[in-house]
Amino acid sequence: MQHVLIINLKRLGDVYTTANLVSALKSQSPNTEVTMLVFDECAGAARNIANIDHILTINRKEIITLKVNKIFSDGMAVENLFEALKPLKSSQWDRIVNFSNDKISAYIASYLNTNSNGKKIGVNFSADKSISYNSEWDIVYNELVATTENTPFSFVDTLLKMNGVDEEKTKSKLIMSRKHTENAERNIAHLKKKFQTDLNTPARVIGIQIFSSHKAKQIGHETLKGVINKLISDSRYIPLVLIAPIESERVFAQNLNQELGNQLIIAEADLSALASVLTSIDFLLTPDTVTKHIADLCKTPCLEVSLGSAPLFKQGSKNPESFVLTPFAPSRVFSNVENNFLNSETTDQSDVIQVSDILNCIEFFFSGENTNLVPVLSENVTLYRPVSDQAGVRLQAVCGKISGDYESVRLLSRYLIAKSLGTDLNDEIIEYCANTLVKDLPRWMDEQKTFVTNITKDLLSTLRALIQAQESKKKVIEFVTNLDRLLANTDDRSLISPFVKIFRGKVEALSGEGFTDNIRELEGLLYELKSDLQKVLQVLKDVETSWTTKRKDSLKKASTQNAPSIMPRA
Amino acid sequence: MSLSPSFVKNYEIKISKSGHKVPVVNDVHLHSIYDPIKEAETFIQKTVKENDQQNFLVFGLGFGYHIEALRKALIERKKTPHIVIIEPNAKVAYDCIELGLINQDDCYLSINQSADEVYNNKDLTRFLLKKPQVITHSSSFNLYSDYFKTLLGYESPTSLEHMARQIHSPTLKEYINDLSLTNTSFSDAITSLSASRSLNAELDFLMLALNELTLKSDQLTNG
Repeated sequence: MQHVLIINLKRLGDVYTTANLVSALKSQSPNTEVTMLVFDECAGAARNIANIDHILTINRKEIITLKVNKIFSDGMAVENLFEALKPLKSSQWDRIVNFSNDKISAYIASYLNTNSNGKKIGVNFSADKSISYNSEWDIVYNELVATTENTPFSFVDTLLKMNGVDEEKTKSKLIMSRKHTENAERNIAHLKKKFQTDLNTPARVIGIQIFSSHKAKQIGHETLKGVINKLISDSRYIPLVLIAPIESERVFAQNLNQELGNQLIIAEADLSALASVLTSIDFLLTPDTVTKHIADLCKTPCLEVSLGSAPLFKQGSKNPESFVLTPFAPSRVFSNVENNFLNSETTDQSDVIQVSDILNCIEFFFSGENTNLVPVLSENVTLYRPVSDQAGVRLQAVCGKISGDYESVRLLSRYLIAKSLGTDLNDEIIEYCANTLVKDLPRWMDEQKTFVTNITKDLLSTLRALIQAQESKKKVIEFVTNLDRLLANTDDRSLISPFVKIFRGKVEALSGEGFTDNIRELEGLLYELKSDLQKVLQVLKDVETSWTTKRKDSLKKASTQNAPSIMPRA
Repeated sequence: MSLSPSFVKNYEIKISKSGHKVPVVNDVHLHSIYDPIKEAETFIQKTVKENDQQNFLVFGLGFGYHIEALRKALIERKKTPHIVIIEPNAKVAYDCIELGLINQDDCYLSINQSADEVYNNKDLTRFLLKKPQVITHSSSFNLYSDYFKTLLGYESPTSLEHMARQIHSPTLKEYINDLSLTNTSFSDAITSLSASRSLNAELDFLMLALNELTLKSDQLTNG
């Protein structure tokens, strides 16, 4: 039996996303025992995840009170954490997964032990404090996904790759009580029967998550009211407001209800019942909240309105029927980014998304796949949908304001990195970028080639300086200066930037015995980066070829259509 | 600092008009000489909030009339009382117990313990972490004001030696004692661990994890 420990010391929504990894691990190896470590306040969420065998918790609030409050000795806080981790410390794990990828989890992962064949997935530290990575996907997670706003991969997909498992798509990932499910189904059926006016057209129940714990992520109040009002007056839809059994949410819902003339139908559900409610409704409208994550796991289609610092591309939906509506992504400021694309200041963008945007998207969803129409959106708004590929699920722009440059860098980076790590993606990405996304391909190509040229110069200077440093230690400073310059090439507009970030991760993880060993390893990494540059150039060439071929075909077609018709003989 | 034996100059037990025993310390009546029961009930009615709280920290025992009034009020509200009483006067406390004036089933009595002893009691700490409502028996509080002020102004020593003394686990105690050889406090130890090129013990990672947890204490919210 394999013993796997997953450390997830993040928020509720992030705890729910663990369900993807747990189901994948169990599917690959049913004889796996999964233990999860979470904070106390997230234990309820963890209990709703299927296939977790044991849940251990850290009482974060208690430990912090013991540490911060001066009346208590620091020893109490230390011992509290020590005792909390004791059951885990006494085990020799086959696998420890640092799911949350923060320093706390990394230190805890470093503190605990695996058996002699065991491995630690995700960031952890060796005794010499060097970062220890299990695979290149670990580096992608830590150096690229965590730090890049326009990330080519989501957290979930990267974690699946890090663990060498594929997503489990068929079985339920959540535990749902039969009683809750029966109640929810009965109540929703009752609603439909009560409010359905046209017997030929079934009324659709649209759940609306009105509350987000982060104000900046919340759907604009007037927008929310406008949407609900329209849905109420449309006989095809039954809006159902969803809240948690918390006083603040009850008050929020009551106030909203008053503003809307007491017409709202409000459903209160705690975490144990929420999944049952979500599986019974037809659609969900939500900001980035735990409800979104649960809906995704339940395969309930949803329209996520992504606002504030909600990490759009890192936590995207996996459900191909869902959508994400967002202000123009390059203008957003996400948290924890290294290099903001347009260096915009943080602004409240809740007013960017209009009532009509949301309603048009709902209409689009219910119009079915057979239509070629796309929703009309306001200026500066984009609609994305999840598209599956061999690396997992990517968000692809459907309509609205789209930056071809921004989208191409993200998608082509995905293509390149996946391929370099052994996952071949379909060439459709290349064709899509060449012929749909980028509006002025020659300009974009020139820009990318300039990036490559600049990095190539820095790379060659670094290699030269490295060789000189090997011959004379007096040249080490020059080498370090060149290396610093190379590592600074992380402009997110560049296709090569992700590779530089991965290279940086590998440099930081160097664990050679001394200077000579490290230099030798570094040399190898520099040649790898050089090879990555070639891959980027090849992809650029493929994009150009695709574009040129398409243009030629278009011109040929156009000239054939304009050719004089052949007159019949007299 | 516990209550000094020389603090109590005189002590007697009087009988109130309602027939109840009232302790008088240094000429201070610790309860009403007319009707201590009624006084206690009125006091509790005014003091105890209408909420779900069932944990109470009481400064001053006297002869416990306010404690019994508190117990009664909680039971009427269908709450299970959990009461901790801090009383510096051992004589008054033992008399109260011997006279059967207090039901100790749901009470913990801390009798004349120093601040260090109070705050380093594991069970008491666990209780304090539940954020009990604090009730001050004003007659006791005013009489023993120095004692209670010391208690309220207490700050735990930050030395690693003191830290080690509070720890029960032998493994952890030994580790902290080792750390104390080269560091003075927790923050000092963290600075050293962060600056050092390598870590000598697995528990070093635990210390770093705790430090990180405290640094991020205001960042984690549910959502």
